Amino acid sequence: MDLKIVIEEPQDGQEEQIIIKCREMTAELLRILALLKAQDALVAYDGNKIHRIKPNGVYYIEVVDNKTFLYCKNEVYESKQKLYELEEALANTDFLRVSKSVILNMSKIKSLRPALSGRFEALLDNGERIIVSRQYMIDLKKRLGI
Amino acid sequence: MHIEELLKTMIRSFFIITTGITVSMYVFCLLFYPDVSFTLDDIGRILLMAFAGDLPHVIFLSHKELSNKQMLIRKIIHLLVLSAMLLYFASLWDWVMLNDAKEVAVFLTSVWAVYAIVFLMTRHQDKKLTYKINNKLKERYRS
Repeated sequence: MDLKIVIEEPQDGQEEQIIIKCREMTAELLRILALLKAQDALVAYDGNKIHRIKPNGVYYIEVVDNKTFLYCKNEVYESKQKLYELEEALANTDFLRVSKSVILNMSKIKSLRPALSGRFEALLDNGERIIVSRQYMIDLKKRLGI
Repeated sequence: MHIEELLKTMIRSFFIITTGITVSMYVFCLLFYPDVSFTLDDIGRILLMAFAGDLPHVIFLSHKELSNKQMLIRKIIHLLVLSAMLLYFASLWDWVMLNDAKEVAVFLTSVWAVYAIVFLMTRHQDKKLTYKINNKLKERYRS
């Protein structure tokens, strides 16, 4: 999709804003909108410390023993939200459910390769490997337009 | 593998195993019993054997996502259980004589050959799919 990008300086007293002019809301535009909204941070905990983490800094989200963890490049934080709540909050962003317990940031996938028994293994930018269940491959293919 | 995924795999495998057994029996009989003829009972037994061959898939049932090492171990156990199960039914219906080492060897080789072919075919398809996905990911995030 070819989009013309116009950046204008607001007049004195005018607030900064993003205006999208389009004939119809395409999937690509919805994705851009979701990305803009996702600039809001996720609340995460590291012991007693509270952090606000931008979603694009999160590599994947995993549930371990009923606790939700946000995995960043080198750090791990705990989230008080359930996995399905985060999945809803991050819908239409680059995040995608890849197994029953993991939501993966697609933009962090370096490469994907077949694993044993019809599963797949995603190699992330930080060198971590995540198993992608076959049943979620349909969603991944859909998202990528395959 | 969760129950939903397991059932899908079992249904898909049932048809693959049925085809595999039919092909194996054809090759096996062509080598050892070229004049043999099959009855309606034999067709029923092929289907029953395919169903029995499907059952060991429960070995992959797990509430947690299995690691590659855990999956490899279960895969080996699955192949051994499957071989034993098929050999049991084959001997029960006198398709294979357990006291004839050559027959047992050919039978097991046929089972493992089908297993390997299915594995390699799936692997080939998955490689093609990951190639497409990797290209799309590259196009979308790294261009």
